[in-house]
Amino acid sequence: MSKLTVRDLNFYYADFHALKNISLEIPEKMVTAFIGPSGCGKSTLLRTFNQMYALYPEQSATGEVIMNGVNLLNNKQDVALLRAKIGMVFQKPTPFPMSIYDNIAFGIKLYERLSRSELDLRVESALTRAALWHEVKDKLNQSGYSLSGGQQQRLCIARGIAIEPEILLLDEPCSALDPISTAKIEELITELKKDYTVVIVTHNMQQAARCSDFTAYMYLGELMEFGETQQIFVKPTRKETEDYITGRFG
Amino acid sequence: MTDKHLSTHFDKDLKLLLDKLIFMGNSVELQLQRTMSALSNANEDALEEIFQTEQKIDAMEITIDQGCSEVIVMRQPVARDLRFVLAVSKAVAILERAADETIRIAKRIRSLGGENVINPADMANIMHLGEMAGVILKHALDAFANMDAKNASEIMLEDKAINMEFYNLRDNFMKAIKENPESITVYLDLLVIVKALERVGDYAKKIAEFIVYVVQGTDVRHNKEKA
Repeated sequence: MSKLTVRDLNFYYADFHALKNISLEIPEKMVTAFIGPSGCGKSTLLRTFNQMYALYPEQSATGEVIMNGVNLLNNKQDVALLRAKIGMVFQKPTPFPMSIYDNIAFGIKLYERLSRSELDLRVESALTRAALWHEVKDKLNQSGYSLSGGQQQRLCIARGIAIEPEILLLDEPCSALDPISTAKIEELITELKKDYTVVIVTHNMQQAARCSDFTAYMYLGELMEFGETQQIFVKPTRKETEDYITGRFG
Repeated sequence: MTDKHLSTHFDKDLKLLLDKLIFMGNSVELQLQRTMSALSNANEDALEEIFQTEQKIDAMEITIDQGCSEVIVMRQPVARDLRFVLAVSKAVAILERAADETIRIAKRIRSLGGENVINPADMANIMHLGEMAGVILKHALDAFANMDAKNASEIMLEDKAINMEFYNLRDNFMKAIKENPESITVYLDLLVIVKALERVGDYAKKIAEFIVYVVQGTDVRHNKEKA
């Protein structure tokens, strides 16, 4: 079943046409990976899903991004509420300059009024699902910055899932991490899809092959191929996809 | 593999695997030629050389398989590169089995024990089947070297012709045994020999199937319609 339907999506950075007639279905409670060379539009596409571009007047999108029957591009709802439904984790870990506990609690308090004990439970639950609880449970009052890079990234994922989003967008979440932290995040991604629809942008094709159920290959703002990950990496339909994933891309 | 990777080392690794596979294939071809020659000349020295070469071919299989493992570990191939490495790994096993068939034949030649035990007409037919087996093996190796899926489908037809030839010879041998029961020992050896040659054709066909797998991504093994 589709969680997000993208139809004829075009995106412009002022005059630059960055996304060209993108149409695809993001399956619910699955991991969908976007791969492609730098500048192909995969991060731009991710940014349209939760209107990260809304702050920049010269950037615009046309077409449809439909979630739960609503076109997010036309919808005038508060972008903060939208981003509560569609959370995002970035390339570099971005903990807030506050304690580990408050990093998680901050977002929850924006959307819900909970008692202290309820809030404690939510913080613990989010950190547990992000596979971080056992590493930080004894130092919740320490700064988020005191954690290692891999822990900071898992903290950001915990922050994202603490407000119970429907979709989690991960924009190259492991590119700044060592292999062990990367393995932990990849393990986490597989766990997260039990509850969330996960969309990941990655330059690491092995990561896409390991973590995702579906893979989309983008090139020069176009969606070249979209299919089951196993099919894309064993027998891609298009020569362009094969050239890219086999390293024949020049 | 026709077009180049960004990594020239990756290209070199794949080319090296292919070169080693073709070298091994040529060794099996040569082994088959020697075997057929030993059959027609009843040459004991040639038989000894065949047994010794078999060990070298076994060693080649291990070396090439190690090369495949190294490419998988170092390069993490995907799509047609992955299919190519898998096909090489399977093709070496097939070539090693084809070499085993030449040993099977060599043992039967020794069992037959000397000249003039084989009827000249039978000898001519067996030599013809041996030639067909050598040709199909050469075609399969050439097609693999060029990743030529078109020739691969022709090889599958060649295998059918070899099978027909084998069945004809088998029927002839059965008839000869019925007519002269005392000849059964010779004909049982000859039956093993022609069966071994027929299997070489089967192995060439399997190599052709791997070419289709690499080029088209379609596994045509055990698929009578596509094969």
